[in-house]
Order: sequence, then C-alpha cells, then structure tokens
Amino acid sequence: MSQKRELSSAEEEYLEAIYTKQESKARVATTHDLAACLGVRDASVTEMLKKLSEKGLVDYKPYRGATLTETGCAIATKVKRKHRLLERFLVDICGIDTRESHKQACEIEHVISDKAIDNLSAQLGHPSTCPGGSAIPESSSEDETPVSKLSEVGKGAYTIRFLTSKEPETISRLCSLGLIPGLTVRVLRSIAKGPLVIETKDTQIALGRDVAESLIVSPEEPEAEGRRTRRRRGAPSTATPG
Amino acid sequence: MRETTSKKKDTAPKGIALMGNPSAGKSAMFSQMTGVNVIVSNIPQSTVMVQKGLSHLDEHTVMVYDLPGVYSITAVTEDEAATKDFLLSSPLEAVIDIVDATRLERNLYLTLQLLELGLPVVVALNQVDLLKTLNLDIDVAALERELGVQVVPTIATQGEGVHDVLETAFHYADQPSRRTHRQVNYDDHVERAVAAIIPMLPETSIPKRGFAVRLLAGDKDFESRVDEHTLELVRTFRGEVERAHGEDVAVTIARGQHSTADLIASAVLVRKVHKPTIGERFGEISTRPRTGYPLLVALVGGMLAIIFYVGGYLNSLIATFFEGIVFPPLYAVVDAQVANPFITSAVHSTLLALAAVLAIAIPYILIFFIFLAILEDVGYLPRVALLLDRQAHVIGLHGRSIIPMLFGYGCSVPAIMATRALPTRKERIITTALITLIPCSARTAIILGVAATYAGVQYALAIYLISFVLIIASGRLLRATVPGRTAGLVLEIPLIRRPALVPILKKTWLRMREFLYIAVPLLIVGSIVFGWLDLTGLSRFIEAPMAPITVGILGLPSFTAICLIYGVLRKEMAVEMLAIASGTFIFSTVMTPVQIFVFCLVVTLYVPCIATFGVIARELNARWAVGISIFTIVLALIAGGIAFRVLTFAH
Repeated sequence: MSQKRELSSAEEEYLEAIYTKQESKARVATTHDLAACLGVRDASVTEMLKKLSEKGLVDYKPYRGATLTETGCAIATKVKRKHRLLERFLVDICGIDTRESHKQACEIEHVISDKAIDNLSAQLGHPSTCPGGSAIPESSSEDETPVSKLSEVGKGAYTIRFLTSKEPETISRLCSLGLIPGLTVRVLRSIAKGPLVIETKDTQIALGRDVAESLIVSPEEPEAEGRRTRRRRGAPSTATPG
Repeated sequence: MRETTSKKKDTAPKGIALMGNPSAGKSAMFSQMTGVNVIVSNIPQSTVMVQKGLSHLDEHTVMVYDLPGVYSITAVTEDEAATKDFLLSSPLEAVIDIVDATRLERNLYLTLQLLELGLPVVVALNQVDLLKTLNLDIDVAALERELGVQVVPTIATQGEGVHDVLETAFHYADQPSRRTHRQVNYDDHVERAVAAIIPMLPETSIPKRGFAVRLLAGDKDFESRVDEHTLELVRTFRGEVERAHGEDVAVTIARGQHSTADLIASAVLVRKVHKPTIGERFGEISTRPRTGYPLLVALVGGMLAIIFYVGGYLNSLIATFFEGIVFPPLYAVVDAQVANPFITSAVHSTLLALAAVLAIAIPYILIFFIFLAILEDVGYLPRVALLLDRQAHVIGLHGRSIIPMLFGYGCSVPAIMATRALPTRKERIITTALITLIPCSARTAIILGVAATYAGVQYALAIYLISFVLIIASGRLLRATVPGRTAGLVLEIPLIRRPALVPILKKTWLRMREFLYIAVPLLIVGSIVFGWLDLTGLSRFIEAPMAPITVGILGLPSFTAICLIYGVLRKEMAVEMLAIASGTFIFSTVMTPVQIFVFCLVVTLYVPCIATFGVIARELNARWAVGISIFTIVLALIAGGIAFRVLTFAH
C-alpha cells in the first residue's frame, strides 16, 4: 500500500485499454487505437498519455504509441482483474447480459476495494476467465499487503492470511482454537527465541515459535482495529508495556 | 453394562455425558453431581479418561459420564479421539455441554459441532459469577433462542444451578416441542458439496447434514462408515472446494463454524470496559519474561526450601516423638508379654514401618502435594509451559510436555497419564521416559530427608543436579533415536483464579489418601517379612548374590540390597526399609556420607517403581516399559559407580 497513488477513473480506463491492446499481441498501443477503443479524440489521448507518462505509468513515444511501465502494468492488471471478475458476477449471478455487464463493470471497477474483489473471487470459485473468454489475472494482493510470519512481528493486531504448516496435528489444533485465515489476533508477548502469547476471542494462547512461523499474517487495518479494540474486553496485558 | 440396567423401567440409570472445552468446569460439575471425588484442576486437558458416577435426582438415579475436555471433535489427541468415540457409540439421554461464559465464542464452536451431529444438547453456561468481574453480561434467553437448546446458568465450583441443569438434561426427552437447532452456515462451495453428498448417505442416527460435513472435512471415523464409491465422490467434492478456496477444506469448514459461533456470541454478549483484576495483573506478571522467570525461580526455590525446612522440622519432631516417647514403653510391654520371637519381631517391624511413613514420607510428600494443588488451582502451570517452551526444545520437546513433567515431581503415575494430551506419539514416549528420571515426591523425601539431612545439603543439591543433567542428556538421546515427529506448542493460558481452600485441601487429601492406602499396607507387610528374614538369617541369601553390585560397583553396605529391592515396589520404601535394616533413622551412624549419597542417587535414578512400570506398559506398551527400566538401571549403576569412585578418591 506504500506506493498507492490516487488515479482518476479515466486514468485507470486508459491503463486498462493499453493493457488490453498489449494483451492482444500488439506490443505498442497507438494513439489512434486508443482513441477508437475509448471513443475519444486523438488529441485527448495524446494529452492523457503525456500525463500518465509523467506519473511514470506509461512509456510514451509521440507518433509511435504507449507501453505500460512495471507500475502501470500492475495497476492495469488489477483493474482488469476487477473488471473481468465483476463481469462474471454480473452475468452469472445477477443475470445481466454481456454488453450491459461490460458497461456496469467499467464503473464499479474503479470504486470496489481489493479485499471485496478477492472475496468475490473466492465466492465465485476463483473463475479463470471472464464471460467473453479472456483470462482473469491472478490476485496480486499478496504483493501489496505486507505479510510476514507471526513469529517475526512485534506486538499489535494482525490478521491471519494463511497457514503454511503441513502437519495435520498442528493444522487441526489451530483450527479448533479458531486460528484460521481471516481471524484477527493480538500479539501480547514474544519471548526471545521462545514462544509467543497471543490473544483472540477473550483467550490467551501460547504458541511455539515453530507454530508461529507457519502462520502468515498482515497488520490489521487501522479502522478495523479501532472497532476491535472497543469491542474487546479490557486487555490486561496491553495495559503495561513490557 | 448399560444393556443390563436399561431393562429395568423407572429406576434404570439414564446416561448423561458432560462435555466441554478444557478447564470449562466439567470435573467440578461432575463432582457436584456425583459426589465422586474426581481431581479438579485448572489445567487444560487434565481429565484423561472417561469417568463415571451415579447421581441422584429426586427418586431417579442417573449415570453421569465425565469426558475429557476438548476444543473440537476432530480428534487430534487421544483425549479427543476417546471423547468422540464415546459420544458416537453410547446411547445417551442427553449431553450437558459446559460452556465457559467468560470464553463464549470459543466454547460455542464445540456446541455447534455437537448440535450438528444431532446430539441431545443442554447447555450449562458455567462460571457466570466471573462475568461480573470482567464486566460482561450474557442474555441467557437470547442465547437459548440463537442456539435452539435449553441454557442453564451455573457456577459449578459452588454447586449453583447444578441440580437444575441435571434435571433439564434428565427430562430432555420430555421437552414438549423439539426446537430447531442452530445450523452452521458454510460458504456456498461447502453447502453445495454437502447438498450433493447427503443423498448418498446411509440411514444412521447421525443427521445427514452433520455426517456430510464430517465426511467432507476428511474425518476418518466417518469415512469408515461409507462405501468406497461414496468416498470417491466425497474426495472429488473436497478437491473442488479446496481448489476454489486455495486452502485445506477442514480450514474452510472450521471458518464457517467459528463465524457462526462469533455471530451468536456477539448477539448475546454485552461488553463494558473494565479495570484489570488482581488475577489479570498477576497473570501479566507471570508471563512477561522480565518478571516471569524470576518469579518461576523464586517459586520453585521457595517451594524446595519450605519442603526442606518445614518438612525437616516435622520429620525430626515425629521421629523423636516415636523413638523417644511412644516406642520404649510399647516395646517393653510387648517384650514382656510375648515369648514368640516371630511375633515380637512383627510388632517391632509394624511400629517401625508406621513411624517411617509418618516421619519420612508425610512431611515431605504432604507439603509438596499442597503446593502442587495451589499452583494447579490458580492456573499457574500453563504459564510454566510457556516460559520453558524454548528450553524444552533442547530436549526435543515443547512447553506442553513441561506440565506432565511437573506432575512428575509429585508422582510419576498421574504424570504419565497426563501425557495423553500430547499430540504425537514421539512426544509421549520421550516425556514418559524423562518422567521416570524426575525425582517424584517419594524421591524428594529420600533426597531431602536422607541425603540432605544425614550427608549434607550439598549432596542433595548434587543429586538434583545429576538427575537434571541426565534428563537433558537422555532427552537429547531420545530425540535423536525415537522415530516420529513432534508438533509445536499450542496451549491455552487460562485466567488466574483465586485459590480456593476447600478444593485444594480436597485434592491434596485425595492424592495423600491414595498414597496412604497403597503404601502403608505394603510397607507393613514388607517390614514384617524383612524382620523375619533377618531373624532367620535368610537375608544373607539375598544380600550375598547382590553384593557384587551393592558392595562392588556402588561401595554400599551389603544390607542395602534388600532396600533396593523394596524400592522397586515404592521408592520411599527403600529408605524406610533402610531404617528398618540398619535399626535406626540416624543413617549417619551406619553409613558414610558418600555411601548415603550414592544410595540416594541410585534410588532416585534406578528402575521406575512397580506402579509406574504398570502405567508405562498400559500407556505405551510392555516393550517400552522394559526398555525404560533397563535404561534407568544402567544409568543408575553408571552414575552411582562413578560417584562412589570419584568421591572416594577425593576424600
């Protein structure tokens, strides 16, 4: 999230259009192609490409066209992923026809959150293609949310992302205590080279360092943490920093 | 035995099972219901087998079963497997699910699993008295509505609500209208798979939805109940769900159950901010490394010091009382009245044995048991497991194994039984083997009562040090040689409870009683036989063949041979018999300090007592029991032989 930049819907639309062109074997998206695709004048395209080039999102060569930079490509991929998943959702679940779904997906894709789209993808069973048959890019959210092993983090609230343990005993024990992806835990204490104490659901649990290593977590989002703190009953162990 | 009794009509005992998360209060509830003296502890997973007892409800008799505490019925440890097995195979009138009110969300997870399997659940909402101190409140009527089962608030430790919950469970079948229970809402993939599996299932007493969920989760007990064709399809569905979610299907299912539990809990729970209680402050201090380790050292050191000084004081008080005041007139009377030397010998031996029990065993063992009961009751032991987890890795274990090992300082038998809560067999084997090397309270009585008193405190400390070093070394050896693997530490840390006098005394008495009932008769018989062997001169036939070991390797007086043999029956008998064999409690008059030290060291290490041998054979197998015994005998002879030679040269 560190490199998050605010882009307008129009800017995202341009990146998406260039992405589509590059995807369909054209290595460079020309100004003219883009104008036709987005239904705007060539001059507007040139102006926008210059702007995007300044932001370091595209490589723009006048009269030749534009290619996406690495950053630009990442953003475009994400928008495209949202677009195609939304189309899937609108067609499969809402029963909307493909043309209408494309229009609506174009609007929703700019406002829907990464987390919402990841959950939608899970609900849909992680489809691999959109209704039109184009591939849906893989989620890149893991690259963006800083994740680390629970054994390596400091005190504070974290959300469990996934379990890497392969031992059935450990997985089962973690499941029965509710330590599963999606749960928020609070690290209360970490004994050097030793176990951790975490708090969840009003209970303190000691976790061996080896077990904590198999839990991949990301820091809890601030607003969600605020809600949780209010809900939590008085936390004895956070009262005095140790 | 249910078959035989259930034929009778009104008086037939109805079976009611007690279920719940570890330390939710099952055992307290059980002892309130039945009056059977179950040991109640504040340690997760301390009930290691299914206990049963009769309870009386008005004119009816009810059979109550206390099951081991479990977080779920997925059966990872042997405790959990035993619980699930019992629930699925026994026709029960009702299952009382003891839900810890202070940990509602977590406890409801198990409740939902029980309901899913169609068990006749009545919820006992326990520890409701603690809600006030934590500034929580639970809407009981709303909880009943949410779950669709009857909920009875209880305070098991004080007996409040216990009669009500038993009555509700007893009349479970008479409920006017069966309500619909709360179902877990799984995500669509799981729901679709479950819906597809249901039509293929055979007719059983288990609801098909629950059956399908367990099958999908890969529960072996349920997989064995369906044919290969169905299993094949279940595997296909499982694969589909796992592909969709990118995680183990068991995790997806657990998420559904936990989120339903969360929804229910947040609907009925009212929270307010509260100040940390004294218990929470102490809990905080006890787990923070900077304060936790010094506290641990202080507690253990203080305990040993009190046992040594107070125990030592009581010991000498009791010994002088008997030897100086009680015995002389009794001996005089017996010697004057009875001519038969066998009878006078038997009377002398019996008196000496009783004095030995009172003077050597009780001061040390009683005080130790009181301490252990306090530490257990307040919930301190899991904190020791936490603090020593890192250290336990040195010997191939983790912190969870520390709790059975701490019990080992009390008695090896319950300690070895407590290893059932460990997740893998390798951990059980290593922990069991090491427990036999830990000085139990009987050996503590020997080390403190004999070595420290008659040879010197430095000798007692040396024995502790040697046994500690050997435990570490053996642990490392076993870690490398025992096949299998170990799982990591995942242990709940309970709230610190204020110690309650009555349960502590009750627990201490139960442990003491067992000791007295078993040890005293054994000692009296042993003592009489020993007296006769001595009288008839037969004892040399035992002493002579063992002399190469006792005198040759260990440098001990030959009369210690019989003591060592008796020590196999019970460890402290080795010393009590030593008093009888040498005719005095003042061991320094018959043995040198080095001999006393070597004797105590060998007794501490060699072959586990007969009861421990039996429990190892039952819990692991006879081969391990024999193997561990041989291992410890060799260890004791090597350690004793080296100690004797080193100390003799040094002097």
